[in-house]
Amino acid sequence: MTAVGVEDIGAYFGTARVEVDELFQARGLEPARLANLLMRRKSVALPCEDIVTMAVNAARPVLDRLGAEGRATIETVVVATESGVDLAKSAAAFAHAFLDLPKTCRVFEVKQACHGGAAALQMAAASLAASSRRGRALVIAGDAPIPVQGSYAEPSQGAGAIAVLLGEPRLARWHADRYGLWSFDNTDFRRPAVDVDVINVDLSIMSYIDCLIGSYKNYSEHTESDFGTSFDALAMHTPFPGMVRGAHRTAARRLSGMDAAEIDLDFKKRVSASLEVPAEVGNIYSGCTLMALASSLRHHSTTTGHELGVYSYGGGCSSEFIGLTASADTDGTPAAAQLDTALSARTKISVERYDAVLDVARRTLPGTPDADDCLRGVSDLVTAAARTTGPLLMLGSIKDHHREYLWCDKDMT
Amino acid sequence: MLKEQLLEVLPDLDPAAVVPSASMSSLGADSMDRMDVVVGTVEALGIDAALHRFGDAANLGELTELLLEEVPS
Repeated sequence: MTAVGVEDIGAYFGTARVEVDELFQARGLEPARLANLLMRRKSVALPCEDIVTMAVNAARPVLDRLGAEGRATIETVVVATESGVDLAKSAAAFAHAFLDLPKTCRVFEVKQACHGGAAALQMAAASLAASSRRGRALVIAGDAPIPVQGSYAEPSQGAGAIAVLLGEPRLARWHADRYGLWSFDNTDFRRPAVDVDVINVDLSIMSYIDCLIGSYKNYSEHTESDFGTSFDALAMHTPFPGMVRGAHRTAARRLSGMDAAEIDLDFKKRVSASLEVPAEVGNIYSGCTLMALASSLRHHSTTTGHELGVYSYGGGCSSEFIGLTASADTDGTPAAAQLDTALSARTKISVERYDAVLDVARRTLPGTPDADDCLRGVSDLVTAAARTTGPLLMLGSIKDHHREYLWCDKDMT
Repeated sequence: MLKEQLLEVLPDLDPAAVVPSASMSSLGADSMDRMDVVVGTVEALGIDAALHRFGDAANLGELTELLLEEVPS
């Protein structure tokens, strides 16, 4: 079996961000609830963005670093999302073209609510490990939800994508038999239409905890692992960081018998690094677990490498607990630097401008037959971000259901 | 037991407002507060059931009924 792991990571978190405390104030939301959210900012999707542009913009820096020779070894590209632009043609098919990936490539899209990204990673890694070809796979996961204005979900509804290049284990080593599974039927989250999110918050949180404990127990049955001591760091699906803190509190008590003081210490030591990036971006649904994984590798770096437990949950529901081995000095890698760049490239916008963006967001929703000049009113945000990130793919127009994309650079040329 | 947990999580809550027809949301509990109340009650009662069993309760009365169904005899 070929040694496989996370070789590189790319990120794209949009061109604009809004301060969560300002959003709370503008909406008249109860300020006390901020404490349990643990969010600082959130990314905002523009009308000229969809999962195709986000996937491509997340992956392009990774492929630039990989070079032409490496790019030719990519044999799988998969996009996991709950925001597909077409019910037949996959976002991966679009991404495959715009990223100029080889024709000798397996191309598909995955939907399994928020578990999609980690599920895709597991399948792609396993296919690489089982092959003697020494190929690579590109797993991209993300989402561009339509925020529910005025709800308590809105402050955490973000936008963006994470691209994980699987190949040589430079950032983390993947292990074929280190996983635990737990799934059952529930109806905690649905998206029956592209702009309709139906969520039972309490059921979702309870199911998330059940699955964390269930998948971890399944993991430990096969690996003789101990939740409290076998991992130096933990990264979990993060709809909002406060939910991870709550779930960790319950799991640490039930699985390891930790008391309140030990739980607080354990959270700071093993979990908080994984929440640094999510606290700046918000919920990117299928991409949440991979974003937490990237955040942990960026902010929890060791000189010798360490064991990293990854927990993924998707509504509906399905889950997986995965054991990776993080490499040494992951904070000094190009992936870490690009994660920072993806955050800093965003322009801070007021709630007033954020509302103006949302007012026209439905103009370009998947299923829309026609829309002209999708960059109207937001091109300044795109050019400002492109000055930091390099060229960005954007949706230019929609004609008879055909989405026409264009590359935008800092000069909008 | 449920009332005790609720007042522990929300110490400023008026105990008289904790009635079966009230939902935890209407009493000011956010999603993490509600999780703490349910998990705390389940553990205090020695209930071994999956937590998602209690995720559909519309108010405290329904939650109490679901909890009573699972209390070990």
